[in-house]
Amino acid sequence: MDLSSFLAATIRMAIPLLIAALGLVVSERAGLINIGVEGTMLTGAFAAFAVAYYTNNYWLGMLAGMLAGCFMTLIFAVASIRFRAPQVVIGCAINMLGSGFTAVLFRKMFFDAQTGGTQVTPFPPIQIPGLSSIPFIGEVFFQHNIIVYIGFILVPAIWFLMNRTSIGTRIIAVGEHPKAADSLGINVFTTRYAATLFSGLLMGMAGAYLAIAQSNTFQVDMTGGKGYIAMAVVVLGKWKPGGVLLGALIFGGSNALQMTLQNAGLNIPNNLILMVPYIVTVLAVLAACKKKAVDASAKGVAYEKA
Amino acid sequence: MKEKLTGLLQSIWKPLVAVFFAVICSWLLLTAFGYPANEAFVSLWDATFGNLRVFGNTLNKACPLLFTGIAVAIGNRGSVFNIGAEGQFIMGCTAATWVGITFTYMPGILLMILMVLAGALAGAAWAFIPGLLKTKFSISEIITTIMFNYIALQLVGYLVRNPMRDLSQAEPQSYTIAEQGFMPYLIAKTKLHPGFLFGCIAAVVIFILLFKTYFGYEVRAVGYNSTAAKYGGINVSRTMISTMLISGALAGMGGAFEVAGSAHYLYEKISNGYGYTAIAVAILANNNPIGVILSSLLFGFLASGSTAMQRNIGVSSSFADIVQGIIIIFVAVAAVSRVKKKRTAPARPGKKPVLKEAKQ
Amino acid sequence: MNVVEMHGICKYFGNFCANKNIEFTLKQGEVHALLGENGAGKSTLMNILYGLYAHDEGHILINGEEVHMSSPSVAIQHGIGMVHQHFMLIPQLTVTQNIFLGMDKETGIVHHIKELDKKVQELNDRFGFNVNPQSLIWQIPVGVQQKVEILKVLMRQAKILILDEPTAVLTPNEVEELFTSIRMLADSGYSIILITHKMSEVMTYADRVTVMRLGEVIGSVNVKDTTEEELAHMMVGRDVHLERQIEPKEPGRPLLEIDHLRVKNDKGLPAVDGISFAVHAGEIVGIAGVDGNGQLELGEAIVGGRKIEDGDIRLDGESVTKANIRRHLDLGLAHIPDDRLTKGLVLQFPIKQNLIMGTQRKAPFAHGLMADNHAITKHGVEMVEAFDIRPHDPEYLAGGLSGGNQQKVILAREVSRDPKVMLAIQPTRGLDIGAIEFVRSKLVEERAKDKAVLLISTDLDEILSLSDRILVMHGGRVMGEVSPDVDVSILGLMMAGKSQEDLKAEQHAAAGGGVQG
Repeated sequence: MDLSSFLAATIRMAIPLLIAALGLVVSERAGLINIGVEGTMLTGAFAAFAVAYYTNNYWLGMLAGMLAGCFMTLIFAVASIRFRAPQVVIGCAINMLGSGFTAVLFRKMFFDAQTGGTQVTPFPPIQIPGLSSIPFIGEVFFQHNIIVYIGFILVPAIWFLMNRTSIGTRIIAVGEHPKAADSLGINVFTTRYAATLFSGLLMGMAGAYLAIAQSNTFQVDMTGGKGYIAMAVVVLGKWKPGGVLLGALIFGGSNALQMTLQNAGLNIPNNLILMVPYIVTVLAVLAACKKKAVDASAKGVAYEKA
Repeated sequence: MKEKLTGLLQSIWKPLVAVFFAVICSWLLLTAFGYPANEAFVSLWDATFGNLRVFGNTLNKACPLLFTGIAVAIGNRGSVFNIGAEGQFIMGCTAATWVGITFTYMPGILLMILMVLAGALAGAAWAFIPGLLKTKFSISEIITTIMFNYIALQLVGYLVRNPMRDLSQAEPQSYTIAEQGFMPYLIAKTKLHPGFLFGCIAAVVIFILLFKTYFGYEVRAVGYNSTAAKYGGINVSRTMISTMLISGALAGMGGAFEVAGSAHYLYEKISNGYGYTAIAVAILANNNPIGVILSSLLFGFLASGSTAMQRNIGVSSSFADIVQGIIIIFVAVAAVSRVKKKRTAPARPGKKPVLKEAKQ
Repeated sequence: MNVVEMHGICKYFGNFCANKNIEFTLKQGEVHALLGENGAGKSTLMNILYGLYAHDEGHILINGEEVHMSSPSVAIQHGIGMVHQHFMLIPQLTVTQNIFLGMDKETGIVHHIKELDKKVQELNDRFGFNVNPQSLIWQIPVGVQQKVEILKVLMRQAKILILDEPTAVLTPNEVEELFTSIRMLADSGYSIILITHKMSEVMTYADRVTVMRLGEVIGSVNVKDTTEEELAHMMVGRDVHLERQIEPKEPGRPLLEIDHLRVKNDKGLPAVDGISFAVHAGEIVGIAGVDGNGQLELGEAIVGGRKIEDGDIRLDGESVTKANIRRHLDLGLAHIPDDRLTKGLVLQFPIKQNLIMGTQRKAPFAHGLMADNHAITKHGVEMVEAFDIRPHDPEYLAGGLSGGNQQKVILAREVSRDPKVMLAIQPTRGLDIGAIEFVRSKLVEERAKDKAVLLISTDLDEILSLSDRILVMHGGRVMGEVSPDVDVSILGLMMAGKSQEDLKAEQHAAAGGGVQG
């Protein structure tokens, strides 16, 4: 694989992490730790695949994926915000539900597909006119499917949301000092619900990307830890959209590297190569831990009115 | 005595209700998915309590859940959220297998002891790194332990395909451990190995450790309020790492019993997600080691039953994951609503306390 | 004209009555002080007015119209603004973002930062505040943060301002500046309620004063028609005797010695900057100072909970500079932390288990690894009796106790270890009067038993009535040592950063100037 296709693969691999991590930025800054992102992505992937298969329309598939993600975070939100159950525990349960539901339904609805038979038409690559024909740069940046471009647009969009709108300041306020937010008439619960559900849309989108944009089918447990890695990306990016983009690209790169190594025909056992992204995650989180971050200080703590 | 009994009743009725709701939800879901729900439950029962043989299997399935469940429970008590029991269990399996295929000249009992020790050691080692990263660099153990699960999984994949591979088998798996290292079956016509029994002993030991020793006092103090523990002279980092080591050792030990008791060789899917189910096991038991015995039985029953359900009526065995998820959510929500009631109870002098530390 | 009338207000927490049949009125354009001791119910009353607490009985009239204060937004709509004692600012947001937080109608969803900054600047100019709209909150000093809080309230068109102990964290200069602004506001038609327990503030700056005691209003008077003595009498229900609680006593050998100590704060900035002093057996040394001048860091360093950059700490002659907290405890240090809920107690543990924190490994509470539950329970029973911890049940969870009883648990634990040195940091903060007196009497008792007591407190009365000697801290340094019969104004100047030498030099110069003139 040459450099340009390696970089293009980096971007393709980074996008699901990027989109999920941007969702996490919003919900974590609102003060919630949702480790259910893995199961939420998986649900999004399955919903997108199933709807795209039956309607033969990848846009409807994407919509379904996002709504499914939103639904999973709704469960999380009700349990952890309304009932103030421990967030990490509920996150674990969401992962089990996501994994269980998708596996059961997949077996029920696509029994044949387990052998790899059932496929959907995925989002096609779009050649951006003019730009895509630039040598090297064109191949790296401008020959992707539309979700990739949307992912990149989301970076400044989320930045704008968090830093230049009253929605963003409200989110930061309820994550940082919920009592202060409450005293200013900001509804802590509503804000947290909204942030969580919004993050669910993005997590679902990231999952849908895996099933109907990056590939053209669903596989049981196809997220393979990408949700957890997205959490690491958020830590690495210090809860800022720009940083998250960088973090996602690093992990995308390690994924692309893993693929390159697999295809290179080197005499390295496959399993050892497959470890790379996980080891990179641990090392990256270790590297990021020293610096001061802007993470919400009321994180993981359910709010209770006096 | 009567007080203790009512206390016990008070502490188990909520988990029981949660389980009951989960059963109803499961029935509704199965029906909604178009499966014959009643038949599913019958096959679940037949496959787990139908006769002595299958009941032995249920206990064997409960054994890894018991060990990993205690592992997660002690972690939760000390506020180290060990989602890495899965990886530690796998590493325990690996180390025990290595011992079993390497020291083939050893007498059986010695080999078994060595396998269990090796499993415990490997599990502890696998937990040590996330523990160190948490205490020294305050890196969340949640991300690191999960990453270590994936790394362990790939490591086993590598081992059973390359250095440890038994080429006489079609599927990638390791050599079989020395036969004298097979743990004996306890009851005739069953494959019940002593793992569950030892697990019960471990549960009692950990219960005593947590609630009857100063070490357990320190673990729980750190778990509830590490700042107060620190000002009380407790070395918080050391306590957390000890908790993590014990937790990892227990999970690893569970792996060793799995290899020596039922699998007898290493293969990629040896864990079947036990370490994740363990989270549900521990939560249902309110992180009480003795309670884990009961909840591991329930989930062992679910694990061995779900395979039968897949075989008989075609529901994916992952249906067990759904049930687990539902149980966790119900229990977690119920547990918190109880805490809330306690907190708002006014502190009235002279009134008999309703406030007790949740132990059972 | 009355802008606020509160009639027959009652508020219960559980079966504790925090406000009993309160009558309160506020006139337009006045500075109205709400005076009372800690726990008198002032903050509760104002939280009701601001809609943070729901009252159980009574009704509230704003500008003559009855209003149901169901939430702060209702209060804001009716022109009420509150500046809380603990600032309600978001550290990660800018001054402007904080001021406009929750004001979507004014800002729109998308913030035009420049315009908003300009609006803040205009308000700044109108009331003589000098706040940079673009600064992040965590980067600016508390005095400025207080102004941001006031700007926040003004931006919301509030005409009625509630200030909850606004001077608690300010230096005398900042206090002066604050009240200049407050007077300016009152003169331009704003009505201001000032919650305070400081008599001097009431006499100097307020027009009218309402005194509260134990959840009840004792009376409302015009400041110019009353005297400090009368107010003090209303406030405490007896003649104040700021009299000394200790008899003179010859101190013994030094038990705690601090030598050129340097410590950094959480932000990595110097917090304790080369301090030296000693506390001897049988004396109470008080450390006075405004919050945030390094006292907390000093306390944490003495306990062993904070890294020591330079210098030495000795407990009864033995250096503990590099020792961990357990070593400090073993060498005879007792510690009443500033925050009992996070540092002092495990709320989920019963009283008896909290009582052995620090001694859990020692006989009789442990034999080998095993804990001795009988010994722990017996100790618990003895302690709840001896310290009158209510309820008298060692099995009761610490989290269910009142603040005073929680503090008694900590006291019982620390005293029963028979320490050599007692370090008490803000030991009476947030307690009711009974508990305060109990805690203080225990500190005096420890002194009588020849312990060395170091009392770090921002409560000047406490320092003055308990200490043998007083050290004043400012900016991480000791400004000087004074005796408790010192002129309070000198103490105030030292707390504001004048060192004793400076003061002497000034006095000398003044005296010299007098001779010349």
